[in-house]
Amino acid sequence: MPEINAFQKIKSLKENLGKVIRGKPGIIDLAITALLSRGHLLIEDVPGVGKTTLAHGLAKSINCSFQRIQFTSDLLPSDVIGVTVYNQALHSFEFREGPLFANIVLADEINRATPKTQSALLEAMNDRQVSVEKTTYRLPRPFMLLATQNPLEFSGTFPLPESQLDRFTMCIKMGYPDESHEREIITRSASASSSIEALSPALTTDDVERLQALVDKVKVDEDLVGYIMAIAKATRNHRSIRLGVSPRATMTLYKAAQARALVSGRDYCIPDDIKALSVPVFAHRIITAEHGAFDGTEASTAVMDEIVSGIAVPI
Amino acid sequence: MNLRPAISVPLPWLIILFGKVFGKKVAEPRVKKRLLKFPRSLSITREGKWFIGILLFIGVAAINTGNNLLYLVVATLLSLIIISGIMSESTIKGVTVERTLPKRVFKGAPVVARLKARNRKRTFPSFSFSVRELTEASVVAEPAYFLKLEPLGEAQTTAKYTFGERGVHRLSAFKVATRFPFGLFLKGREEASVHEVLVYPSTKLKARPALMPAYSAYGAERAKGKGNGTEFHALRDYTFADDSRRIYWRSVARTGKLSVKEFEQESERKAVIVFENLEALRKGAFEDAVDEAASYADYLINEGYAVGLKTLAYEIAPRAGKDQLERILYSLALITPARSKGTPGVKVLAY
Amino acid sequence: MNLNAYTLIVTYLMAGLGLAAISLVESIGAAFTLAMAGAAAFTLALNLKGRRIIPGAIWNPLAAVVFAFFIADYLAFSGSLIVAAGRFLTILLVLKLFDLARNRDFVIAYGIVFFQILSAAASTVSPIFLIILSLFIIGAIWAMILFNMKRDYQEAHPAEKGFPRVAFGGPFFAYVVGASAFSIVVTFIIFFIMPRMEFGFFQRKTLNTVKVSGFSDRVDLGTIGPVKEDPTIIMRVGINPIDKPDGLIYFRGMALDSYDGKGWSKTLKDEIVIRRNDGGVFNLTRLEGRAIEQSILLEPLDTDVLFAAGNPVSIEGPFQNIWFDRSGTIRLPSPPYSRIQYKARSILSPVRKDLSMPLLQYSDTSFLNEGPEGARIKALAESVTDGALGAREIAQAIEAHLKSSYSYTLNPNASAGLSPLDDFLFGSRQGYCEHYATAMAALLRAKGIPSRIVTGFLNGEWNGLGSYYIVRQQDAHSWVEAFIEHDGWVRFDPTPSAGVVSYSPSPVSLYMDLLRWRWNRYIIQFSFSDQRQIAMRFEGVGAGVFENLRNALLEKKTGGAASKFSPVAVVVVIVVGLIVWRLFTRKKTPSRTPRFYAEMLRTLKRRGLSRKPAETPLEFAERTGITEVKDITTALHIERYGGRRLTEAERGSVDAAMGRLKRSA
Repeated sequence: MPEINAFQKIKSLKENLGKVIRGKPGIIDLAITALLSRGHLLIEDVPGVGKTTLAHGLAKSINCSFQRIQFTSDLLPSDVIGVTVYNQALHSFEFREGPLFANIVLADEINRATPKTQSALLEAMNDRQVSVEKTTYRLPRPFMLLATQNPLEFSGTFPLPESQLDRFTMCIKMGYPDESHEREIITRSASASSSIEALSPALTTDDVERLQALVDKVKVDEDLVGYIMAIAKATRNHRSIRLGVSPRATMTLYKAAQARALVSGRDYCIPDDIKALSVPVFAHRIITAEHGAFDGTEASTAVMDEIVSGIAVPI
Repeated sequence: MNLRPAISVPLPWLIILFGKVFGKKVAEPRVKKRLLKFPRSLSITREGKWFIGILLFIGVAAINTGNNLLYLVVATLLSLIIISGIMSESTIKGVTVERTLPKRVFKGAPVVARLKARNRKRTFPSFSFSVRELTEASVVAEPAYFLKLEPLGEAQTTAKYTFGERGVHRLSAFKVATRFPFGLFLKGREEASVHEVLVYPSTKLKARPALMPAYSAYGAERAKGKGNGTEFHALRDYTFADDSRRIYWRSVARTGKLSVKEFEQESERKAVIVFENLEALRKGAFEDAVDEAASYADYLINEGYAVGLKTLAYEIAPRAGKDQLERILYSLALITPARSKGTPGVKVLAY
Repeated sequence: MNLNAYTLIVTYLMAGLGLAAISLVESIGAAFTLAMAGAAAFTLALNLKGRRIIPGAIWNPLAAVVFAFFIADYLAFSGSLIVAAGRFLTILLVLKLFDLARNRDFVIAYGIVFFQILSAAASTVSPIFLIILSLFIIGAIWAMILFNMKRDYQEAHPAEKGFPRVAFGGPFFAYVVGASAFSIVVTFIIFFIMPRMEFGFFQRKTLNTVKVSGFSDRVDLGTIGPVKEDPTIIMRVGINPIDKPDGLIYFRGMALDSYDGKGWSKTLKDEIVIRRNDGGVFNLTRLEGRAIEQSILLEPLDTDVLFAAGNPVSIEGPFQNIWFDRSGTIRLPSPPYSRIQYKARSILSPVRKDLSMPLLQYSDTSFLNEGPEGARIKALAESVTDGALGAREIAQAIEAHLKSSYSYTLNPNASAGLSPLDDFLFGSRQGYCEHYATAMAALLRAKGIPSRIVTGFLNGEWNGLGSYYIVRQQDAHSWVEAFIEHDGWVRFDPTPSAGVVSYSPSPVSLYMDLLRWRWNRYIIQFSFSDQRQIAMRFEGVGAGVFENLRNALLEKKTGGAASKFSPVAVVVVIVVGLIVWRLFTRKKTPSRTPRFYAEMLRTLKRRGLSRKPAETPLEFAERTGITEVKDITTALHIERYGGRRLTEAERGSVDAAMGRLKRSA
């Protein structure tokens, strides 16, 4: 049983984020879930729905460093990771850390960069470290990458390779705010950025690491593991799916379900944790058999919904 | 997206209607059907017929003579039939089968499927049974044979599958059958194991495609040059017009001069396969055309072209690479004739 | 050891069973069996060396030759189909043993063994048959499983010659033995419930009947003596142990009326035919008194007389009709020439209450008029009965005299020139039961008392283990019945007690005989009436179904709607059984759902709310919008997924919520 403290900390984090992201408790929960499961988040949405606000707010709330990288087609890996520069005064190479060296990194419009640059992120996301010229540099802890991609813009983009997608814990959509919240956002827009600045830290980076450790202890019934496997298996046998989810994906769902349980104030998982997360965790990892060349996460979301609604919940 | 025939749409509604009318829950009719269906198939082998013949003969002799020892022999033969039933049941019961088909399945080309049988019984082994795919006529699947499965054990074997038609094939069940123990009866049981397979059209190239030059939005082929590609082109001195990020520091350390790396311009040969997917008058002509388009796509991708597909219904933009081939084959696997009739034809436009 | 060696061993064990079975066939000849066993041993030596003398090609011609021999044997020599077939099969088997190569050869060999066992079944009654059959079942199951698997395997892998070693080892052997044991149990269940006819159309006759003396229309004096040392079993008589008399029990055979100085004969022709009544019983007389029931298993004898203790009242058995005369003799129309089993009910009293005037034959004293000894006998009768008043006292006096004054021996020294009776009375003064009984009858007739000789068996050996008498040749006996006015016919036995055979059996031999008795009683002689009795025990439904089944199968017309209905009833029973079986064999995985949640689901289902399989409990609770459902769902989460038992307080609130839910419904 985690300390009551843990639940309170999570609660205050939620409340804090709620101040800047209006009317989207689900998105906040998912973001925290991704954070606590030591994961990364891919946000797919049109510009201007608050993606940056979410990332920035998260960083402010846990009182940690924040960097934002705008991805463009001429962005080079060294622009992200850092570069070894020759110091002519000292006659030696020295490493200049790129913007990746921060606790929370927002990679904006990630699909605009070339695959080469995109894949430079792989090691950082997986091992929380970067290797340059045989030297390994450790990224700060906690480390979380939030990436956005714009679904509408098709020309001049490089779709993320599967291996990259597989490393994002989940892919979410912010969605447009509903009318009342939008009205509120408009009226408060003048002070919007200042409200982020005014955000007081709700917990420390140490707290986050402790919570991440607690996630591992959340109990998952063996039948729920079977439920995860059933969903995964269904993606592998489904007629509209060309490539089902990888074992890494099932592992991620397991982890994320544990985190979601903690975020919901439980020390054990319930089927809802898995069912609710199965779409955001799996949808971007499957390759749908949609004809035509669109890499539509729309389609894969629909397919995942269909799959999950056909699998019996163990009770 | 919707691969199922449209006819399946009203079916759930009918079932729901049925449920409403009779006040039963929706799943009810299926359960009843299962109950009424006899769960095993049984046929008598040649040896079994002999056995039963001898049994009847001795039975008549026993009745005629009233000789109890003959009755005893008859009872023995009957008991062999009974334990044959029990033992064959214990062999085929609790056996589950899984199949793994290769990722790509092409029409007409045999593929090797891996069949894994598992015995889920805790105490009894399963002996000498065969597993056969229950398929539609266009699919030819070899049966697989398993000699023994220990309790809770599993075994693997391979079987050759040949799909005679492209598109989605739903493999729904296996027949697990055995002549065990005595070879008198062939007893079978259906084991559901659902698997949908997408079969690509045949890519067997009959003749090389004739490339027709075309002018279009895709643009003419450009000369190779420097650009923003990923292949190394050359190293040159840094000028102030250059982005400072492009300085190649390793060379700076070596030569003491600021240099930048240049990269190749991305360039491709492009081809678009135009498939007029008209509904053919002659049966099979449409399928031949699909095969032709698929074989061209395979050929051109392997030749290094960026290949696109254009049909009356949709269009796939040209790209190079195996991924693109996959995309095109996928769409050809599922393509249906357009509404208008005509002669389906395939052309290749090259840029 | 490899598979081939295993197969060879099993094949020779099976061949051994075949030869053992053939040796049970009557009159096949031990020499023949031994010769064939020797030939089989020779083939074993050849097969172990892997040598074959008979090429496969000439096997068929050889078999044809042997078949011709079989025809000749049947027509010219043995005359018995079974014996000829037994020889034919045995030669065929040995020939096949010379030619064991392919699977097919082994299968043929096992087939021949099966038919050998079949011919033994048609001919023997020995309990050894059961052992042979049981061993054959084990061997046959092993061989059939193995050959079938081998064939399946080779069909699936045509390129491979060998066969994996899965078929060996302890587990497989245990599997086969288990299957065989189960098969034997099933065999007996089927054997006992298989519908029987009351009569066989062609019942088996045996040629080896036991020759008995004393049970024919004429019995010469001195014929019983030789058999008094013969321990051949004549019959076994089962009696309820409560009914067993303390004294000796007399099994009555035949009554003889006329003596001619050399032997007794039956001159009266007063038999009447008795027919079965509706219950299948032959009612003989209407004697009063407590009748005890005997179940008699009679070995094949060369007589048509049926035996029963004391005074038989009724008979029940597989006969069409029987002959019965006023003296109490029961006879079949012809000797059965087979082992038969029947039931008799008798009154054990020594007095047969038949007050009608005895026929003249019983008082015939003409034999006293021949020769001088007649007068001596009359004089002896007078002197022995001096002072006795009335027929009963006279008879008792004669009985006492004979018992005390003559010595019992099975080998009397015959004096030359005297008739056996005179020799006994006045010459050697020694003899056995026949002499005693004849002497008494003669003396009674000399005194004018009607009398007759009865032949039968005395007592026998009591086997307490199975509650039955074992009656042997050596128990053969004869005694006297005298007509005493106002009492009827009274039994007198003048033979001294030395004439009673005494047995001191070992428990082992009693057990062995019990086995044979049971085997004969319940297997060899198992009949429809036994089935009926078993069915009676399962009164009510069981018996009804059984009768229906039997009627349906034999299409026996018991009349009316009942018989028309029975096939329908059988079908209904089978269908119901199938459905029940389906219901019970459907896959059941233990549910881990807490009871209270399952109960809640049932309650809601009655309201028309049911959870879809893909719906999580929480989603379902939200859909219903019922607060209680949400509370119960929370409890479900804790217990089912949280892995924690509910506290008392939580349980209480769950129960309360459930209560509200049920009331509101």
